[in-house]
Amino acid sequence: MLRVEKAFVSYGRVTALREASLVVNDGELVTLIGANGAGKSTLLNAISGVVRLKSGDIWLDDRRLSGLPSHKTIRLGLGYVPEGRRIFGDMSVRDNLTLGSYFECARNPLSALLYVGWFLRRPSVQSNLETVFRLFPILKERQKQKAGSLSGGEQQMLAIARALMASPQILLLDEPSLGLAPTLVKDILKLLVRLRDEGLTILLVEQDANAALKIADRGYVMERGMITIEGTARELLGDDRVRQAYLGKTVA
Amino acid sequence: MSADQFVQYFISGLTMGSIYAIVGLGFTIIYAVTRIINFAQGEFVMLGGMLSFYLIKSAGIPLAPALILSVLITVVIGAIMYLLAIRTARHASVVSLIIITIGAAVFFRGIAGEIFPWGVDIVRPPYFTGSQSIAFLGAYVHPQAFWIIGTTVVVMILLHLFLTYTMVGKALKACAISPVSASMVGINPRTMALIAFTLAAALGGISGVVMAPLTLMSYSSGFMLGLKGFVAASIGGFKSPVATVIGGFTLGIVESLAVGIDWGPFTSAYKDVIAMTVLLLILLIRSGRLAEEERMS
Repeated sequence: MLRVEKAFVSYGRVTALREASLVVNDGELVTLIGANGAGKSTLLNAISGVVRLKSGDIWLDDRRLSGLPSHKTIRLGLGYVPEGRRIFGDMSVRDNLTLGSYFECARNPLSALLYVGWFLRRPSVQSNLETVFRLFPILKERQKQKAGSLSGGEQQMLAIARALMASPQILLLDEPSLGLAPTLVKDILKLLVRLRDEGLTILLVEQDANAALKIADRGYVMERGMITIEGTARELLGDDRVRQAYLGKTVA
Repeated sequence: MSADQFVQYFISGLTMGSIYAIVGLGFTIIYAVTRIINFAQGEFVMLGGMLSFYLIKSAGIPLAPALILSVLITVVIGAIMYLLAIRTARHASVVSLIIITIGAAVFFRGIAGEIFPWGVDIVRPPYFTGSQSIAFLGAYVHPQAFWIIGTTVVVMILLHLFLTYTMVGKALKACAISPVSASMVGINPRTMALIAFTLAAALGGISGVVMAPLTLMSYSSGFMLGLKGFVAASIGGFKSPVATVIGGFTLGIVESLAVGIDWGPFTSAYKDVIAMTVLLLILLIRSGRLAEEERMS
């Protein structure tokens, strides 16, 4: 279970998060919606350790994430698919995926000196790679290609696949649909449902509130750095404030 | 210049070029991973050479272990430099960090002039395998030159294999692309920075121990060597190891051939002028290109 308790973040004099709190239970797909600049990405960055909290706490089960830099939170079971994907464009698809399992090297520094082929043959790494290739057959086909040469949708798949290579306990996604064609967005969202059904816990930040709420179990609405509305996805889809502000529907 | 002379100067250019290339690789590795230009890179070379002389002559350690020990000590010095001077200045800008490396270079030079028993004198560690020149394509080549070229080429190959085929190598590359992205897959950018400094110190130390018997070494040799490596690295734009190696060899060969040509009043004393001219040209061309790149982004 991921718990964010009164997270407060400011950049200089600009406050990005004002005591935002949320909970993601094991096996849930939770979505965080809100306008641009509401603080959604900041919240994900705070959870993953890219930005530091001024106050508040973040826990993954009994492990405290707040105060840890991102390379440590990843090692504690967080999978992060950041905004803009941040894949290593100059490297091959396979290398990107391999680096997804890099946390194994942190656990066992000598393995970092291994020939990559041997590293990939480690049972845990190999089974992750098989899982990922099963989910994304296209990545298996393109594994020798440079990641930068993939299409936008494929790059997004690679970013998700790379995060899965660390066998995360919870997956954080920051607008995975950004800049993708509608059919691709549907594919990505379908995939998230499938991952949830296979037992993965997911926190999804999404611009398209309607699409996100349709697949989510629960949702949070963020405004000006605060969580203003929370509830089950069904409740939010029926909520007048949400319908008006985020679903583009006028209230009768 | 006769053909024999040409071969002679060419081989001497290859010898110096291989040193410039490997010093340049030190610059490139640190720059790629941390965006810092390490102006203490040449001092690593000096320390390698001076330590080998000290261990062999003053401490009486046999040649092979003394060489290895010199490189290891240089590596430790490189790691300590990173941990004490660079890592502790964690919130400093890259420019401040570069200035810190200049400070470290001055510090190493000052210490080297003080602690060794021969002070500021120029020293020559023993040749690895004598000084009987070997006839080669009409030229006479000092055996130490073969040691220099051979060692640097082997080191370059090993470095290439390390960077291409190990997990650390891939992690270093990822960090070179983006430290933030790298940290998002669990790579600690500061560990990578430490590894980069260690590798660069190793490259410097190795080149120092192999070249010192032939080129001689003093406490102040590091500056010019560092500058030549800097030229090699800037030919590669501090990004491409291959271009850095090519740059290093090119510089060495151009320098050597230019010395061989009879310029009349110009003598070999002007050798270093060539490197500086090359540097100025590169900087002129690159700064234009950099400005353009910046405008694009």
